[in-house]
Amino acid sequence: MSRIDEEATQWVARLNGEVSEETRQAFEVWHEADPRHQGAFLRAEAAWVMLDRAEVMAHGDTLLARRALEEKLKRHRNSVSRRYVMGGAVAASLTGAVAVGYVLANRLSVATGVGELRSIPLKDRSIASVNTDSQIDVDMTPQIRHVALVKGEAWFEVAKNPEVPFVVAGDIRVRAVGTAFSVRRREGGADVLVTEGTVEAWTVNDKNKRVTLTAGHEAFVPVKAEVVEVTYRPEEVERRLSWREREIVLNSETLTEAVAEFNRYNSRQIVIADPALGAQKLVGGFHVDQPETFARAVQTALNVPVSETDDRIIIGTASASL
Amino acid sequence: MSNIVQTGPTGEARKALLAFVGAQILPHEADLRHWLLRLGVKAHELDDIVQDVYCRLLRLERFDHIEDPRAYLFRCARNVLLEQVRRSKVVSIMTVQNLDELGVADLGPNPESAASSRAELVRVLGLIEGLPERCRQVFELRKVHGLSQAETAKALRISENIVEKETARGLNLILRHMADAGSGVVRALTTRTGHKRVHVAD
Repeated sequence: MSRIDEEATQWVARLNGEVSEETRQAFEVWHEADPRHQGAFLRAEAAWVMLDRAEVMAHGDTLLARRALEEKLKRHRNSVSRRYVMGGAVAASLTGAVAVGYVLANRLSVATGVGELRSIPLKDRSIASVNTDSQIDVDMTPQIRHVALVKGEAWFEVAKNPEVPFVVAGDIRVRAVGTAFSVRRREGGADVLVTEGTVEAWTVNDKNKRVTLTAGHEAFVPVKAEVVEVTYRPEEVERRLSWREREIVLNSETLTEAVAEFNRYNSRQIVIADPALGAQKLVGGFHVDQPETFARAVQTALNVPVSETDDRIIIGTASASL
Repeated sequence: MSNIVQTGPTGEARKALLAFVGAQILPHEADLRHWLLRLGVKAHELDDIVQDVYCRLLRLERFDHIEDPRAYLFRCARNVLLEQVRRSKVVSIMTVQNLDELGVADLGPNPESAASSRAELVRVLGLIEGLPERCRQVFELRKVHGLSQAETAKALRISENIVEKETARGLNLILRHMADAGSGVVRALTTRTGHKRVHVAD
């Protein structure tokens, strides 16, 4: 790499800190001096910005992650100062610094609000996509990659590592080595959907009754040990995972089911005023955060009145006073 | 970060350009360099030409019309070459005629260009992980955890000056790596880990 390229990276680094007027002018002089400087600087800055993708690819807030990091760094600093007392300064600062990388991401808690979707890179290079109103607690150890699905739904693209199983735990357990699958907690169990590879699922109550699911399969795994029915429906699996693109795709779902789905994502709840409408079946694709669009589509499709208030959308009555 | 460049687009436009270059151009730089070498460009002239190509990108007012960024990049490099030959600034490369004969036959779109988010993340994390120890720590805090330079210095208990030096050093190593291997690595990772998404339309 040429001297110009090296200068360009130095400027990118320098302009990232506190920039004095003097530095700024020096940069301008350098930058204007040669078109090659401009090209090299664009290239270096683009690479610098590109690296931002390592950060949480999220729609949500990073405040939580930041607070957790601060907490860990505080602990790291304490351990560093303790080691300073015990051993040589150089050795101590080195060990301490190594510890940062380790402590940082092994344990991680991610919670999403209603309507929020976050994709989180995990330390082992797996990705967890956490759906609306959900929470996962991640704990990475050398023996096991453990994710507690505290509530809601998440989809995992698991990095291959046969030595260290990746286990998702709710009331049930789902185990994988390198694959992609989702788990959604429900009353009395959880839905497991597999998009890639193979997973094993079982209930904590009966570890012997394990079911194996491969790509395109789905199953409801109950907490109470019962026979688990595994079905192969790849299109259905993809459809039910359309939340990853922030979409709700309906394929002959009933109005009741569709409304329940929208209500997961929005504080503005949809209410069906006329129970007779609930069984009507619908087909279509919508954004998770546009219940209004959905309601208007229903209005046209079923030829029923729809009314709106600030916090509700009511299907089946023209008067908003329900 | 602050962009204080006066040549080329500023503010939001600069941001968009950086994102475009980072995602659509940089990954093809290694292939571009190979292609230039095959054309007979000498190694010591490579950087000059590549810098010139990037400089041209600065003149782009918009780039959403560029359907195939890879082919665009190669065409751009070809024009730079032709110009340099004309000005006989670079004498060691092939003649203009040879250049034209070569055409754009092998500039087709890269079939693996649509990488999954995971493959992309693996690539970026891999770049950071490949750095020497202290460099890597600085990049992890700055890029994975989004700390500022001052915060990073405080967290690692080193001076801001050192953070700056490590940043420049690491960025240099990463760019060098991308120039050498970049897209080859991406392609290998994508085929291994890439997942297909089936769209349910109706």
